[in-house]
Amino acid sequence: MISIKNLKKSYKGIDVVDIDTLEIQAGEIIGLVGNNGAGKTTFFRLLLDLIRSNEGEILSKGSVVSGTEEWKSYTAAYIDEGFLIEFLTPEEYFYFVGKLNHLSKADVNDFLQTYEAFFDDSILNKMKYIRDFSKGNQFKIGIIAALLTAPELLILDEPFANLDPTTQLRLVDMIKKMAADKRMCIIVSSHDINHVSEVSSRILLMEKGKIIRDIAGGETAYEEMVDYFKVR
Amino acid sequence: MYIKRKSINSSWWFFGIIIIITILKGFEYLKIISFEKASSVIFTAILHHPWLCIIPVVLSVITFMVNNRYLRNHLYIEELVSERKLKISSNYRFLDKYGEIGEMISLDLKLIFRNKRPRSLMILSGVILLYGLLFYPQYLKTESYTTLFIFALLIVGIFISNYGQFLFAWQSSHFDGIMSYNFNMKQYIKAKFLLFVTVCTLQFLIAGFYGLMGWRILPIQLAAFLYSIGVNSFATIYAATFNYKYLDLRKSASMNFQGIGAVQWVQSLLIMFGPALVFYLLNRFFGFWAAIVSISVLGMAGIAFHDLIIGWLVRQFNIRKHKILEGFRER
Repeated sequence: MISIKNLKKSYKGIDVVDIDTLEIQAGEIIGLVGNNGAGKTTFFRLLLDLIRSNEGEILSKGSVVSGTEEWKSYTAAYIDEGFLIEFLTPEEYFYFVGKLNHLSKADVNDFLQTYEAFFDDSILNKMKYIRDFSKGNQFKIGIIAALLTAPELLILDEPFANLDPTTQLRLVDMIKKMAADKRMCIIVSSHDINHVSEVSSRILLMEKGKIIRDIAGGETAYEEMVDYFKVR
Repeated sequence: MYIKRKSINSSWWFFGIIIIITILKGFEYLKIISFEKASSVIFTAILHHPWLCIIPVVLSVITFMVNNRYLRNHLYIEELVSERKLKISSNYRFLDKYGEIGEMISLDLKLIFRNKRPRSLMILSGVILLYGLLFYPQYLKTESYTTLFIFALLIVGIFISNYGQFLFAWQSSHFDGIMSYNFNMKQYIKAKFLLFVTVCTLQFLIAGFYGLMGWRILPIQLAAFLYSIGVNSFATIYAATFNYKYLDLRKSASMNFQGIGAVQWVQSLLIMFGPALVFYLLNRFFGFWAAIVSISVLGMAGIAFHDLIIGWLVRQFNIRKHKILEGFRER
């Protein structure tokens, strides 16, 4: 799905992202873990061609991401509010994203119905613009809009951090189910090693822009992470 | 002061006052009611009867009291965030059949009507439509066609240069999203161009009524219209790819210079006076029709080759894409 060669991004002489090689397969759920400033968000922006790399390249399905647009048709992401159109109501936003992906209003409505539980009655039919929602609810809107397009590659930055406990657990279930049903490739970054080890099939530990450990998911993953983070 | 407070709360006040002044000027011009005479009557009366001085003093005291009360009543910030209106999802049906491009245009329209700053610009474009009432008659009389042409450019094309100078910056708060949604840049730029065409055509049709003042207005406005669409719109989009500044949509537009740099000033000057100079020279040496036809042909050439030009604009945009994104992320 994704293959990275010699990717480097630095600001003012400091390497923020520095990845030699990395291969990610379809159907994998990648948990990206690291302390603040490890370069997770910068890495995501590089994946979406929102930042230009200093060296190296990212291939998505075999073609270069930077400067091309094919990847947009099967990639969805939610990094922060910069992905929401703040002066639309959530419904308008969903229809908008749907339309860009050739989904009719009815399709979108059907989709929203299946995720009613996730919304917890706090989003739809509120007659408010997105900018007037709380940060947690904005996150829900962003995540649902990303899922709406049925992407093959889904990128979520810190999805657990801004959600309430119930929604966090629901999200864990959703991610697992989608990856299994549709063989999606999902990349999630998080500080919450608990949730990450529960969801991920593979965990990448990031430090100072480098991927220092590549751990297979499962029970040992949690202990290995605790081990790593305890030292510092 | 009172008016300033009020006009911060709603831009309608600001434009209302401009319209009133315009109308009063119009009356003055048409000699229906002359305010110059009225004010001279008032001042001579004061000169003859000094005790009348008391009236302006009383008036200013009243103004002070009104102002004072207004400020007192609006001292607390929570009260300023006044009644919450329910926001209704809406949809521009007529744009539905144009697919993704229609969707992009309807997004732009919502951006304009739901946010203070672009909305004021839209209203301003409407107010400027009235300029013809004020300025056309006198320059028609003196047959200064170049000046008429400048006003026609302003009347027909103000939206393009006003909205267009921040073309991408309007979306700066969600530009990361715009750059990763599923549509290609060519559609994106084309949607912007079509928005220009739509609004400009509307302005042109309304301004058509000025033809009643003198038939020469019509060819002048037609040339200005074709030029605005065929040349100015592309020039504005090109210039917008150099605008890296974040812009807050919710702040008011009047007297707001956020996101405006030297580049924008030079740009708006060039856009207005570049074609005017060409028009002047042609009109001077080859006559009225030579000027009209040349400017129109320039515009029509731009319209005919819009696909090629948009392709080039997309390449220009892509060169600076990351710089724009980076600039918009700095708030």
